[in-house]
Amino acid sequence: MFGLPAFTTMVIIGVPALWVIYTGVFLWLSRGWKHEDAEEQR
Amino acid sequence: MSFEILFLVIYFVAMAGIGVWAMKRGKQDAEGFLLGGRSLGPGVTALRLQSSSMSGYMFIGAGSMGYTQGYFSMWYALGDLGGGILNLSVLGRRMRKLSQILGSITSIEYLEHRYPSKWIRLIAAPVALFCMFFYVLAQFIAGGRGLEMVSGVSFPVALAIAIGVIVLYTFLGGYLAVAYTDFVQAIIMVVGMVWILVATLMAVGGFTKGNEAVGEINPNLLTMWGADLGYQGQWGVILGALLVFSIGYMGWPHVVVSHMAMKKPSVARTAGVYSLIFNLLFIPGPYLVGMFALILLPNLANPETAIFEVADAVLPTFAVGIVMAAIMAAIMSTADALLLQAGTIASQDIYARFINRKMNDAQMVWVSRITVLALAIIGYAIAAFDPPAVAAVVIFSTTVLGSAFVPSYICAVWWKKANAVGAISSMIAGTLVSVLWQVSGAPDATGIDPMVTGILASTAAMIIGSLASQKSHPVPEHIGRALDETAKIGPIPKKMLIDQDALLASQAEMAGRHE
Repeated sequence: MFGLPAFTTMVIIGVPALWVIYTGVFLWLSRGWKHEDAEEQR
Repeated sequence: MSFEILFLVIYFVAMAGIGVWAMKRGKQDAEGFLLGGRSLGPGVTALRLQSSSMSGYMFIGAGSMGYTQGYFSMWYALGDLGGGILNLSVLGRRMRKLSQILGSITSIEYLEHRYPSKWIRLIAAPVALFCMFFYVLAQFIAGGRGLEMVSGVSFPVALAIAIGVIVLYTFLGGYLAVAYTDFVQAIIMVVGMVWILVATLMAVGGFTKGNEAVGEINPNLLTMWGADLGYQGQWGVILGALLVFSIGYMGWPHVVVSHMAMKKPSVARTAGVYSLIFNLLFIPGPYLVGMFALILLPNLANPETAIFEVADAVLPTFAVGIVMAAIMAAIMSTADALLLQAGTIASQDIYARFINRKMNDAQMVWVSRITVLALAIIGYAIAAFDPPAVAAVVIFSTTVLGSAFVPSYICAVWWKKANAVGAISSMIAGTLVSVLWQVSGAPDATGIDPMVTGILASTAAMIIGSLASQKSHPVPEHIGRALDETAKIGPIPKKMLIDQDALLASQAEMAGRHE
């Protein structure tokens, strides 16, 4: 794909995908942080 | 006057204007000057963090690496992509909260407050200054090369102009000025990089055709193993390339200070997302443009000029000016953050801590400015007469910074047993192992990058040092309480902030008794 060897394609697509997944997991795990702001504003 | 020069002049004036505006808007006390009054939202936090860590290296070193090593260079980009989100998710919220509880306003002072011992600052400040000098030296060289290309003046003259502009601009104001100009510069960097990448892809007939053409020059360039397959199976080098700009980020004092300046601890969440978007748009560009320069400009005398030359070849004249502004933005946004931090370390962490404890704000500014000037003059002397390669200098200095500080910053918020002995051992081991590994030529002999050995050494030293000295140097009780509070999701209880001054006084006294 893209005129590249299969391993190169896998790495240059796979690693960024891992970072996107990591970000998604971080957002999910930190969903409660907004309560901190709500309490701070009160 | 050419379009490129005109654009650069407009750009410099606009940045100076933003700097002056931000300076007037900010509070004039120490927290206002050094942390922008802890007032920054997610957009400015994310883009300031990213632009101050994406230096002139991205336009000079990354392009050169793409030109000479092909897709192997992408290992650096792939680690770099997650650097911001990793930093913000691991350190962001907790470091913001703990630094406020401990009353810390510089990233080195924060380490001393968390690990109460004057040796923390005595070791951390010179190590950070040493690495930052080399890092900023690379920015000076990159700025000089850029101006040399655009204006046609000789390198020493271009270098003097670049350093002069960077230093004057750093003198403008404190953290808030740097943060807001960095924010605008990050946007200019993305626009410039995307523009040049799109124009380059159009010039080579698209991504696939470009890759095929590179493969005809040397098929090895399309592999992840380097132009002569020299890195095949060299996982120690590859791991180092992935680590230096991802995990390594968490040890850069001029970058982690962004966490301390956030408006609220939860800003880290949204800022993490913004930083990932910025990275996905910006980071692959310079490496790819460098690679495709092989097709457009196959006989470049100096690969470090690949991106400048490609911009000149594929963009209309007015767009070259914008791209040049983007390049200068990358250089200046890193250089000003480094110089501000270096000045802060010299004035707050060395002069005010060990020489003149009664220093007033005016003296602080002067010590900071003299430090910046001294770094600029020494930097010019080295860069003008024997300029080293930008990529090598950046990778070396950031490797040492990461190796020395990553465990200390991470354990500060995540490990209650981390104590001063562990942190001191960690900083010494990380610095010595990464420097000695590099200068002894061990990376070539063993195939293991100094970032890998440096981080392993500093992490082991932190764990062994802390566990072995729990009885003789227990973590102070108030630090334990602060860490418990940091771990909780909720506002900092007022009593922890009200007693801050008394707490800091007792902390300093206790640190003095320990020595």
